[in-house]
Parts: sequence; C-alpha cells; structure tokens
Amino acid sequence: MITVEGLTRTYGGFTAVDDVSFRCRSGRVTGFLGPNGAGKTTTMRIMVGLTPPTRGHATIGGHRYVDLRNPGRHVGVLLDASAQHGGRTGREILTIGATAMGLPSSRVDEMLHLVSLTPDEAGRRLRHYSLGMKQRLGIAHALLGDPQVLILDEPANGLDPAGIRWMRGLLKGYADRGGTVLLSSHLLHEVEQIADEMILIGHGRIVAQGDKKSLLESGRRQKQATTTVVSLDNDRLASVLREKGLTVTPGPEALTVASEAVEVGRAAAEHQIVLTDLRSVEGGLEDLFLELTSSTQREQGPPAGYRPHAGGPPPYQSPPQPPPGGFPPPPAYGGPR
Amino acid sequence: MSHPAPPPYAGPPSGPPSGPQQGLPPVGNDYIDISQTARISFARLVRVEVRKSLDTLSGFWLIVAIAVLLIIVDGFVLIVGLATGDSGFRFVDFTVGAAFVLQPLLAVLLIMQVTSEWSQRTAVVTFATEPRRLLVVYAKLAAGVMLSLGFVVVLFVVALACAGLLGLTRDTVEWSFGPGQFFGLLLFEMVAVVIGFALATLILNTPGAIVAFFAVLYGAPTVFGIVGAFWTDFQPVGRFLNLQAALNPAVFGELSSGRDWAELLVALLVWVALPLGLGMTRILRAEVK
Repeated sequence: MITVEGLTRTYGGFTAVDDVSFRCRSGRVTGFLGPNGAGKTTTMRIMVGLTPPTRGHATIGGHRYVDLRNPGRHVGVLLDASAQHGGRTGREILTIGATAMGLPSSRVDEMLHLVSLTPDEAGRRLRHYSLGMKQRLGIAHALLGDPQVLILDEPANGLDPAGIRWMRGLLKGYADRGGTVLLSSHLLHEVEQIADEMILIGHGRIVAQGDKKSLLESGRRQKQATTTVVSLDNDRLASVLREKGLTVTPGPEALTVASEAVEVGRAAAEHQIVLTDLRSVEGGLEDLFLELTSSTQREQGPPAGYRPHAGGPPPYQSPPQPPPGGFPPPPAYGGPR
Repeated sequence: MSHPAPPPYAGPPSGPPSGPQQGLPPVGNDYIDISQTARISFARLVRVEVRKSLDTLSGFWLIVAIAVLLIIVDGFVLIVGLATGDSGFRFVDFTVGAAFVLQPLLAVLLIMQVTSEWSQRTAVVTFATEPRRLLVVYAKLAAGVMLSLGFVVVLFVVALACAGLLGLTRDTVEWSFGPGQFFGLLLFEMVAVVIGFALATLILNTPGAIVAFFAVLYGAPTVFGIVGAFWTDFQPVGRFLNLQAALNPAVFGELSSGRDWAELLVALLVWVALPLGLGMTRILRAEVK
C-alpha cells in the first residue's frame, strides 16, 4: 500500500534520509523505529509531500501523495500534534478539516467521541491542551476522512499508559479491517506489541526490517549464543564443559557458557549432572534495536557497566524461557513495563 | 487534566453514516482507487480560509479593532466638523480619511492569514489536506479580498452615517461621489491587500512582513524623496517606484493622465508582481515545517 523506493534527502552535507526503501502492506501495522534524529520524521514528511526528496520517490496506493484527490479521504496523517493554531478549539480544528475534506459535521462529533474528548474539552482552545489531548485530537483529525492508510509520527508521545493501550486497540482494529498503518516511535515497547512488521532505521539508513520473529532470528545469527546454567554441581559441570572446549565463566550462582543451551544440556545429561536452571540468554528486540542502531546512537560509548544488558545475563530476572531446540517463541521484552 | 478512562475499544472507526459511500478495499489490495474521489473545490478552500481568519481570538479581535478604528476616524472628523462649524466638509473627507487608516490594517490582516500558517505551523496540516499549495494560497488571497471588500462596505456605512449626522446640523456637506472615486478607493485598498499578501508569501514571518509592508508603502517614498532631493536625475525614476504617491490620484478619484497610470502600473509591477512571483515560488518549494 505504501511503497518507498530509494528515498534520499540531504541538507547541505548532511544526509537525513539515505536510500530508504520499504513497503507497508494493507491490513498490517508497520512500526517505524529508530532513535531520535534517525530520519523517521523526514521520511514521513517526504511521503506526504511536505518535504521534497533529493532522490527517490514514495507512493501511497500507487499514487504520489500530491496526485491523490482530496488526500484526507485516503490517507490520515498525523505528523505533529502541536502543529495547530493555539487559538482554535479542538472542535473548530476538526470542523475545518471536515469542511475542507467535504465531510458532514456529524463526523466531527463521531471523531471526538472516538478519541474520548468530552464536549467540554473539545470546546477548549488548543493552547490549553495537554500533549496527550493534542495527540488524541491529532488522531481524530487523521481518522476524519475514514482513510485507508494512516501515517502517524510518534502518536503515542504524551499519552498516558491507558491512552497508549487505547491507541493500540484502535490501530489494531483499524488494520484488522484492512487498513494500512505506518507509525513511528523511538520507543521499542510502544511499537513491539502492535506492529506486525518493523522497520529499524538509524542514521537515515534502514538497518533491519521484517516481522518480529525474523528480526530476532537475524539478530541471533549475528550473535554468539550464550547460555546460563545452574546445576547441583556447578564445578563439575564447568570442568565437563571446558573439556568440550567451551568457554565457561563462573558466576556467583550460575555459569555462563558461550554456546547453545542444547550443548550444555547434552553435556549435563551425558555426565548425569542435575540441572536446576538452563536458559539461553536473549535480550529480545530491545538488545537488537540498541545493537543495530548503536553506531548511530547519540549516546555513544556509555560508561562501562552501564550499558543495559548488552551481552551477559540481563540484570533483571527475565521470565523463564522455554528450552531451545523447538520453536521458541521470541520472548517479549521482559523488562519492567 | 483528568481524562475519563477511555471507553473500551468499540470497533474500528466507521465511515460517516451520511455522506458518500466510503470503505476500505479488501485486504491485499494495494491500490487506492481515486477515480471516485472529487477534488477539493476552490470555493470550499476559500470558505475554509475565510473561516480560519475569523475563528481565532487574534483574528476576531483584529477584525473588531479595524471596525472600531474606522468608527473612531470618521467620528473624529465628525466631531471636528461639529465643533468648528467649518462649512467646507465633503463626503470624500470621510471616505478618504478612513481609507488611509484601513489600508495598512487590511494588509496586516492578509499578512497574518498567510504567516500564521508558518508561525503556528498549521501549514503542515493545511498542505497535507490539500497538497496543491498554489491553490491553497490563492484561496487565501480570495478569502482576504472578500473580507477586505466587507470592510470597504463597513467603511462606506460608517462614512455615510457620520457625514449624515454632520449633514443634519449643517446643510453644507458636499455629497458628490462618483464611480471614479469609488473604484479609486477600492483600488487603493486592494493594492495594499495584494502587497501585504505578496510580502507575506515572500517573507513567511508576521513581524518581518509587516515591517516590509510599511517599508514599501511609507519608508520607500521617504527614501526616494531624500535621494531625489540630492540627485535630481533620480526624481523621475523615483516617481515610478513611489507606490503610495502613485496611488494618491486613485484614492481621490483623480487617476486620469497617462503618466499617472504609467507610474501606478510600474509601481505595481515592482512592489506587487515581483514579490508575489518570488513568494509563490518560495511557498511551492519550501519544506513545510
């Protein structure tokens, strides 16, 4: 539904978007993920014709945005919830949008109801809105024309947890009905639960894309497998594993082994050592996200020991994971929510 | 700020119950059929722009302030007329006085209409809703001209009322007012409207555009006058660049000689057509932030 091909945008010597190509399919939510300043917003702005690309092109439903007649009826856009006149009321902003798109004014009330803005709140001027209310209004504006495609830049920004859950349900339902959703975020956990597919962008370049599972698998392939194990006789297990040529790092309770969990389990079975805990260390998407975009992060080289669980067992107790070997479902980000 | 807890999600947004048939394509269909979608008409864009210039507090108060100022100016002329007992008052005195006050205010109105899209960043939404930017900008101009015509009507109503009041006590008010004077005044106002608009599209910043407007209308004539005083060869050239002086015959309804017309047309070309062309190019190419 959305096709972006070879999109590049340079500002003088700075390349904000560098040869970006991807597709968003209808009926799916696509998450556009990257650290601040990675080029997400610029890419979305090019898609809706607000920024001219230096090279490449973007089409929505087979058309350039500028060629869509009355684009609000086909594509809902929310780029910046604060980009509204502070002196207008929420209802007035939606009324202007509805008038321009040629919609009945009843649509305004429907949308206000949909995003849970009360008549009292809708009658307030935008400058008195909280960021969360602006986001709700922006989403209402994007949905006004009942579009087939939604392009939302950081829509969860400023929403409270209940609001984020509400939006998740809204977008999921929208995609289930056949709509196409592209939403950007710099926060993985915002996107992880709703996005069917993810596009990871850093420094203007796409560093990975695909569904969650394939992203995790590609991440696993790149990385040396690590397993932590606890047994009734750790010392014996350690020597057995070392005999097999594996690198073992003893910890206070567990051993960390640089191999697949199945290797450790087999060794323990051969020598009849009772295991009480065996798990492969997986950081999940967050590790992958940080890893892929680390070369482009603003915070380069965080102080030693601070970098959150990059390699080594995670500092928090992640939920028990199923033994490897079968089809381990990719573990959800197990950190505090 | 306390929200009521959002209601449980009750299904995806449904299309409007009334209005044209909409609906999503079947899953997997990655082409949007736009053949049934009507373009946004220019009239609708103009209607939206008129609404946008009235629905904010600043826009509303600017309009109230203009109307009040018109009343104050003509009221002042009326009081002077009543107090002095001078018999030489003409209806034109009321219209011209108000016209000179209205001129910069209308320009400010137009300037704010254009530049507030940038200062309030609403251009992001405006141009996402209608990507044909030139059409949107022309709709703004049309909306501004319509509002300005409304103010010209207000101007005449106030002038008639004040001159009428003066006429009740003095029967010496000179009422003659020909079409030349009417259209001259209209031209005088509309030129300011278009200049304000042109400078706004070029500068895209409210204070900057207002300063530029006053520079063109009031600053430039002064500068040309000073230059002309020291360099007599410049005087004929300066006359062609002095827009306010070129407009003067128009506002009094005395635009008759070919030289007057030539000066006006050259001044309009330099101060209206040039910035307008550059401004439109700028808006077309600008990255809308």
